[in-house]
Amino acid sequence: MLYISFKETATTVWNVDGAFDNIYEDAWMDDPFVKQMVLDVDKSTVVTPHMVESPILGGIPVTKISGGVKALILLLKRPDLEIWASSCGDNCARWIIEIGKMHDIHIVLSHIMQFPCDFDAICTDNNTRIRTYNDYIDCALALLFPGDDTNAAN
Amino acid sequence: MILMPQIEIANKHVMYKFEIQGKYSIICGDSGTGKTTLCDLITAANINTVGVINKSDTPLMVLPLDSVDIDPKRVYNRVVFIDERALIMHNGMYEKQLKECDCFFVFIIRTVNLSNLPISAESVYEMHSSGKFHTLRPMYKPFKRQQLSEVDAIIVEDSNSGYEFIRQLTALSGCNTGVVCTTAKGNTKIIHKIHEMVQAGYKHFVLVYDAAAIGMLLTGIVACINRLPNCTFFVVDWQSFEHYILASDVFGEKYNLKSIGCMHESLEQFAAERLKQLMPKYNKKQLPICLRYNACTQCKNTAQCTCVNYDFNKYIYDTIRQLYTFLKKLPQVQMTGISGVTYAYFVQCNHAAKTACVQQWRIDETNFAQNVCKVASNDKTSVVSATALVQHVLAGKIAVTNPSVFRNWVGFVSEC
Repeated sequence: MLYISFKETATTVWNVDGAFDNIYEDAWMDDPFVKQMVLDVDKSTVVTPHMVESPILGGIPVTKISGGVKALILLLKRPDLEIWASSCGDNCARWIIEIGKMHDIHIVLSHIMQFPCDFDAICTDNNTRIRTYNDYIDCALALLFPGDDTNAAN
Repeated sequence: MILMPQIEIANKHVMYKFEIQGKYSIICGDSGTGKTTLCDLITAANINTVGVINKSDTPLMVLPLDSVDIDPKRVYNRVVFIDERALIMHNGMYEKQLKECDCFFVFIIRTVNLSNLPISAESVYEMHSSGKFHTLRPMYKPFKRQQLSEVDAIIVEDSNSGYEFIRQLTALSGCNTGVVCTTAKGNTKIIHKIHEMVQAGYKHFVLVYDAAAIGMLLTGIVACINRLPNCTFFVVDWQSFEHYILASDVFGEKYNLKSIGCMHESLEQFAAERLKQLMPKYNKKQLPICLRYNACTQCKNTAQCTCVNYDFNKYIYDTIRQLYTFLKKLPQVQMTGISGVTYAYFVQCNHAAKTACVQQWRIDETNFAQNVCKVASNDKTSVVSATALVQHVLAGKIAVTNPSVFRNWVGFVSEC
C-alpha cells in the first residue's frame, strides 16, 4: 500500500541523494526492476553494480544517477524509510504506484505530483482512502493549499 | 549590474545555455534531465577545473548543501543556485535572508512551500535537453482561455486597489446583473475561494491573479480548475495591478519589464515603486481617486460589455488609457501628473462632488456655471453631468477665464 503525507516530519528522509549514496548495496543494482527504473527515468543502463552507462555523460558511477531514481530504489529496497518524494519528477510517478503495490511504502510530497492514472493509496494526514486520481488531487489541494495564513504570500 | 543573467557553461559532455529573469527562479520538471549535473558543473567551474568552460556574464555559485545561512556579501551580484537537498531549504529560515541579498536565486526544487516568495509564473522553468544541449523553457503554458458565454463570478486575488478597481469596473460595465465580484485575499487563498464559490453554486468564473508572484501556486490552481469540469474559467493572469497602470502607458513612458533585475523582490515591487515615483500619492491599499469610479448612471462608461470573449486585459488597458486621454485634452490647465489627473477625475466622475464643484465654480465663475446649466439643461437647479461640463470646455463653448483660479480650485479639489 502507498501511504502519502503532505507534511515533512523529523523522520522524513529529504536528503535522498545522501541517503542512497551512503547505504546502497551492490545487490540492489542487480535487480531487474531497478534496472528497468534506471532505464525508464534516466534513459541509462546499469552495466555493473558500480557503473551506469548514460547516453549523455557516458560511463558514470551509480552515485551519479538522478535523485528521482535514487528515491525509487530506496522505496523499493528500504520501505521502512519515509522518503521525500518531491525529489522525484512526474516521470517517477508510475513507478511509485508499482512499488506501492508490492509492499507498504511511505512518501512525503511537498508538491502536486502528476500521477498517470487512478491508484490506491492512503493519505495519512487525514486518514483518507484514495482510490482515484481525483481523490488524490482533492487531498493535495486541501493539504498543500489550506487557504489559511499558513503560507501567506501577500 | 546585469539585469537578465545569461548563463552558459559546458564541458565535453554537456552544454547549458539559458537566461533568467527576476530575482527568484525555479527549475523543476522530470528527473534525469540534468539539473544536478548543472550544479556540479558550476561548482567545478568555480574551482578552475580543467575542461569546464564558463561563459556566463554573471558569477555563478551553488549554495553549499550544509549552509544554514546566506552571507549577503558572499552572494552579492551572483546567480546563486540552491538545490533541494540544501539544509537551508528544510529548516524554514531562509526567507528573511533571501530578501536581504542583492543577487539572483535559482531554486532547483519542486515544493510549493516557496509560495512565500514572490516568484513570477514566467520564472518557473523545466530543463529541456536535446542531446548534450540543455536549456530552460517555461513550465507553465499560457492559459487557453475558455469561451465565456456568461459570467457568474469574478474572483480577484488582490484585496487592495486592484480588487477595488475590478469591482468598480464590473459595476460600470453593464454586466453587473447577478455577477459577484469577490476577493480571495491573497494568492494562497485562491483555491479555497474557488471551492467556496463552487459550493455556493457559481459555475462561470473570471479569475484574476497576480502572475508576478504566483510561483508554484499555479500548479495548484491548474489542478483545481481541471478538477472542476463543469465550471468554466476565464483566467486573467495579470502581472500586478501597478504593472497594469504602467503598461497602459498613461504616463507616456516606455515601461520595460526587462529592467527589473534583482534589485527588486518582484515585478510587483518594481511596478509599485515606479508608480510611486510617478504618482507620489499612490497607495497600494486604496485605489487612487483618479482611477476610482462609481456607478453614477450619468457618467458611466459607454463601452458595451457583451460578456462574450470578455477580454479583461484589453478592457482595463483601454479604460485607463481612455480616461487619461480624455483628461489630457483639458485646455489652459497645466496638466501635471497627479494634480491634473485628480482634478479631471473629480470633475468627471464623482457624483457627489460634482455638485460641489459646480457650486464652487459658481462662486468663481458665475457665467461659466450659468452657461453650463444653460447648455446642458434648461433646469438651472438640476445636477449637471460632469462629463457634459468638461466636454463643453473642450468644445470651446465654455472658456476657462481664470486659469489660476481654476488651478487653485484644482488644488482644493485634490485635497478632498
